[in-house]
Amino acid sequence: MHKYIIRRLLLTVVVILGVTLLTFLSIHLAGDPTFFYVSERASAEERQAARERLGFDRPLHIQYFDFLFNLARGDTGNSLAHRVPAFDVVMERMPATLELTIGGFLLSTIVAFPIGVLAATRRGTMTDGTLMLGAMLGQSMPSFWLGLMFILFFGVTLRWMPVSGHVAFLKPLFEGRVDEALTNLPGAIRYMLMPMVAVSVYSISRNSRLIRSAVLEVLRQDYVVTARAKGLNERTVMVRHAIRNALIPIVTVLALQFAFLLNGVIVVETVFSWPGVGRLVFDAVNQRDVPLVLTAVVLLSFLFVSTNLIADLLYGFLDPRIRLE
Amino acid sequence: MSAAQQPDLAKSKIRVSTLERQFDEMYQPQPFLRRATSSMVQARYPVFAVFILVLIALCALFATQLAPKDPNRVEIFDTLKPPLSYNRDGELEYVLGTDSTGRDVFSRVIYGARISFFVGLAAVGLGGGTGTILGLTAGYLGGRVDDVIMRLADIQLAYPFILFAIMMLTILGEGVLNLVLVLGIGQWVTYARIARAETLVQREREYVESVRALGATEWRIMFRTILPNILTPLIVIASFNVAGVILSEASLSFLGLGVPESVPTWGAMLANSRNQLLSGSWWLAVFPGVAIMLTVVSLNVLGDWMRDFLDPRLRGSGGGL
Repeated sequence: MHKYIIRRLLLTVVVILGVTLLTFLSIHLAGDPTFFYVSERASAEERQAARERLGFDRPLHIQYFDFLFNLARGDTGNSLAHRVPAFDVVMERMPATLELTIGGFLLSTIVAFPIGVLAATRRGTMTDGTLMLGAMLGQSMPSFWLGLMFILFFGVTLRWMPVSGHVAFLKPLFEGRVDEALTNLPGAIRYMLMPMVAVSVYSISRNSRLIRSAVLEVLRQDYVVTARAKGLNERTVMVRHAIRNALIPIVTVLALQFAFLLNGVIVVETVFSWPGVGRLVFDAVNQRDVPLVLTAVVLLSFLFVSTNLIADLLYGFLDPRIRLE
Repeated sequence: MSAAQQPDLAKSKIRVSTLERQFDEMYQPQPFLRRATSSMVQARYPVFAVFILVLIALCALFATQLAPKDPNRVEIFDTLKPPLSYNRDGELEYVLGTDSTGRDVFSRVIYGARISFFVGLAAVGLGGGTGTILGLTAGYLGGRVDDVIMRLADIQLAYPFILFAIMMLTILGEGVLNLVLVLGIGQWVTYARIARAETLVQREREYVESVRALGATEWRIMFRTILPNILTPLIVIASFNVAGVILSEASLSFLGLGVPESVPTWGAMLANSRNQLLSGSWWLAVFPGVAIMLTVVSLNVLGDWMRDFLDPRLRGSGGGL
């Protein structure tokens, strides 16, 4: 197990280096990155001054190491639009993004599981057909369009739900104000409901299809046949023998869905004016605020890489065959 | 007829040749196209999918002829007209309404098919081609080459694609080719991993061995002998992949990345609809979204069918990789 953990940690370090290198190189891709940091009307002297101040006149590898060290200290330069450190701007918005991502993760897991198992046990029936057709449709709708439709239907037409807005829950919690967080909770859920569902529909659809095939795969195994042959009732066969063993591939799938959730969160935040990193990136892109985009991208990737690491470790813990490989 | 007068031996000969012919007819595989069509008709849904895709493809190809109006023509007196609006002369003019600057939604939806189809196919072609070649090379050569290519794949998999795309497009700026390039780079890993896995299996087979014994070059073995035999799963993945790329393109256009403002795209239309939603202009948000959904769902249905038809081993892999 130790060897497995160490190998995974090393791979994570390589990945983080790769991600930062790619991010770093990308801003040099279009030529001189100084142009992103100065006004369009800046004179040649001003540009030269900025180039020296930002260190773009030094060799690339030195710039990269500098970039890494600064990143480790939480210094990624100032945001051009906000005129404060970009790192702080992104971290300020991170809790709202986490709320939506974690909410979406919980929702998609809780909903997809029963759908997948039900469809697998009723294989070939109307129930299975309807559920899988629904999953196919759910996988084919862009999450932001779903968000727009929710706003139109539940917000504008029926007036049941607020169309935008946000009540902070994680932020007071992180800052140690537990009371405030708990008082905020009902409001937070109310505002979160529509964006959360919009973000999770893709994951729910995808997961329920994968859970269905994982359970079907296990149901074909000899030990399930044996369990049935010795006269166990269907419920015991499903719960004790089938689902338990189907859990291993399912955990991987659930962990890997983070990528899809993140995908959805970034665009859906824009739809609902959610004050998270996605909305921030959207604004930063439109203002060509490169340092801010860069910081947000790097920090979100770190989040993504660490969830992948946790999932892999959990996977190794659940399935001994993996860590012995 | 004359067979009755012939001796027994000849008679039996005729019988044998008839049998041979019958046997041949029975076991000769039906033409590929006929098998595909009958399997498609049997599965029902794929027929609808093909119908919808052909329709949308025609829209994309003949947008200039089919669209009733110039998609970018601004009519300041006809802003936010609801669907089925009549003009001042009492003629039906705006089938799907107009947007906040009076542009015809129907024409824009038709033109939007162009970008979606072109970007979807081009990015999958680029990513699929590169990924297949890299995967084939990694699997066939093994060793250091394999390590480097697969570690690159690991790094890219650990880097959420949407973030990569946002960053690259912010830096590179807008343009259809940049969009294709970025979306293409996003796809190669899937193909590389599958091509590599399949190559590892195929390169040990006897037919590869025999081609090598005949003195074929490595190059020939890789691209003429192995490649045709690993294509099936890659084609199946590609059909789902086009759907995925179209969704990504819509997301990026929605964020205002990729295509210049003057090119109508479904994603950008949805982004513009956001501000008009609260005033109840539902048609701006509904129609482009329906267009995306119909396209993507048709591609997914077609992919599902193709997987079952071409490569039943992949059944249950969930699609949309």
